[in-house]
Amino acid sequence: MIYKQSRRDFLQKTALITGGLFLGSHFPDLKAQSVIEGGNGKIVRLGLIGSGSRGQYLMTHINLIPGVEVVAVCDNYQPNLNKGVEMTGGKAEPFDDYSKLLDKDDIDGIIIATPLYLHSVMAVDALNAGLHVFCEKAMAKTPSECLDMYRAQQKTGKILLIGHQRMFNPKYLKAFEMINHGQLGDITQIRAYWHRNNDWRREVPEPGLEKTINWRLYWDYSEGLMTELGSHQIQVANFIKKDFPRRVSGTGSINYWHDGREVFDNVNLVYEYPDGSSLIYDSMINNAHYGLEEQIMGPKGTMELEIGRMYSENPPPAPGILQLLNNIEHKIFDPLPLGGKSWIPETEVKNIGEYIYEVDLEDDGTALEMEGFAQMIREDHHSDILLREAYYASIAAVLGNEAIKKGEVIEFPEEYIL
Amino acid sequence: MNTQYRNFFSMGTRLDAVFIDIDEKYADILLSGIKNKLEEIENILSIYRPDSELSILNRTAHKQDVVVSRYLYNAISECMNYYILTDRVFDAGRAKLTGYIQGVGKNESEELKEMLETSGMELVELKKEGSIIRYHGKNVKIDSGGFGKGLAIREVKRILLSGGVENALVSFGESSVLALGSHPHGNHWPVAIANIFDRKTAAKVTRISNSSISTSGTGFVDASGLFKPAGNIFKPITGEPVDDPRTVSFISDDPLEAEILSTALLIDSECLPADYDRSGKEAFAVMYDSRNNFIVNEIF
Repeated sequence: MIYKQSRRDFLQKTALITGGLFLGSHFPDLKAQSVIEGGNGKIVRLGLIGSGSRGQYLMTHINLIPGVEVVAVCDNYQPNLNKGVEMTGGKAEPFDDYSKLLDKDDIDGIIIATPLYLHSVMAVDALNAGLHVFCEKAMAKTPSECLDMYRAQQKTGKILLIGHQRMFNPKYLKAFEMINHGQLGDITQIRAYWHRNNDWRREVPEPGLEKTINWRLYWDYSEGLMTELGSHQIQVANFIKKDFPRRVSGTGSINYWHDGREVFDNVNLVYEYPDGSSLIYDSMINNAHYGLEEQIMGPKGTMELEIGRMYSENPPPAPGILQLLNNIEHKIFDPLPLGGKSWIPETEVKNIGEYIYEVDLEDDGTALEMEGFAQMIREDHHSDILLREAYYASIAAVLGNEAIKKGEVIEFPEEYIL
Repeated sequence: MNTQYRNFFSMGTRLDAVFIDIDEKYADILLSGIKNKLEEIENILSIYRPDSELSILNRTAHKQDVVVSRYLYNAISECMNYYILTDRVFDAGRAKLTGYIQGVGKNESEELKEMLETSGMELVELKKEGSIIRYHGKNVKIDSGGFGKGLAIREVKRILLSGGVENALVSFGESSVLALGSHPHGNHWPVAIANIFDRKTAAKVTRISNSSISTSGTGFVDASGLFKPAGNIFKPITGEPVDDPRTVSFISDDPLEAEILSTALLIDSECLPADYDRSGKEAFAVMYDSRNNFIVNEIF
């Protein structure tokens, strides 16, 4: 029911947003996905590659979408494969080799929820096999792999959607619209962070499976915090800036979890955009006090997108003052109404801001993203805008690690600019 | 008619300013002057800024004489005068006690007794020569919450008058409102004190011109219509809470007087001496019965 409520709210809200021209003029692809209720009746048949924790999370949402079925599941770790098949009610065909799943002739598209280092090869193979692809973020482990995926999509014309669910989250869409309409002024700085307090490990039944299960901790398989967490927030920053950063510098290390892992447990980066603005980014996994946030700042105000609040530099007029101004304009001599909490002496009134989007959707955009993918398949409509967003965010995330490792300012390579 | 409206956040609340017959550029100049002055005052008086002069005073004056700026000295000196005038009802030196009572509520403990005995303006020593202040009680802490906005509005008034502004209205979070001259379509500025249980209706309409109105209240009405005491209004001598729904408004040509006495009269409507000069001033309380009907009590 959560899903259905979310969807209804989203569609209602989207109607407002499209009425405001935002999606229509700046985000035509999302408009196309979101305003169509129920699709055209075609059953969308999907294969899932990677039925670990993320794959299972995606499946919980897919199972609630009318007209979408997962008919094949692939995983090379038997417990995950069993779980994935179980989540389809035992109906899905199991595979331990993804290339065999791609040979199935009764699927429309696949969902890739595997470790990062496998994204590119699997996505390219799937596209070349004539299948639509949803691939979890980040797009790929290296810039060249990202480019391979982009080119494969261009060559095949099939859908390639990367899992940046904030692009399907109505709260974010509303914020993008407000920012685009200049409510914060020109965006001069974005600060984003993602803090957790855990070792980022999963239980390993036998030592030989350490890198299979805890792949996020090793450079051969993962780019660590930057691709698993940072790419989401870089993508948001890029979309707001309508650009991508050309330079990045920073530091990072393993300063707490000295447990044999290879990837950094803290990263601290500054990304520079061509207009002189910057994204200041950090992520850590030994303190969760500040959680996660994207703080968007301009001369007129600030938005905190995760909590969904906007703080104007200049407050909105008090209602009584607005009435007074209106009265003066209309030559009305009425009293100024006074009444407020600040009648209480000796209390500080903080600028608590205003909600960007007042409906609590109980969804981070994943449910809508899954439905969006299904709808794109029904319409055979690829979104180049979304793919480019994912492409630049993923490469920027990877370049962040390069800057840390080399201790240098890294320029965005010319050969990867589309 | 050239009406200019400006607003900004300051001193933990919102300042709204309406200037009549002022061009846009001059309104910006005035606003800039006001902002700078208020920032200066906040740097001296805010207890929410750990590096403000008052915060430093509060941390150090228990142990030694502290030389303070003339501005801070005069501000605290005025608070002392009002402390005496109101027979100890307006006591700016009870910030720690306020925090204590908000934390544990009214009780009869030895701790409360000790807090009462070791805090308050009674234990603040002022030495005019050298602008020196000393606290003689370990729980003395001066809170500018009851007088800071009054001082700020006083400065706003000075800036506007020296800038030749004849007609303007400046609202500081609706609790302190300064009116110069008159509304463009009348001969004064009419203001309405809202019924806190029904904000669309006025409990009392009055007029201000070249004067300020300050309103203090004991709490607020939440979204469900229930009155919520703020918990920080109490009789400084006994620690007894004042938590029935009520507001007191005070009109004076001195914004500081309006600010301080609206709070003092909220605690005790009879705290002013018989010979206190009431001319040109107005004070009234809006109280509420058990059915939330308001009753206006003209104090003078």
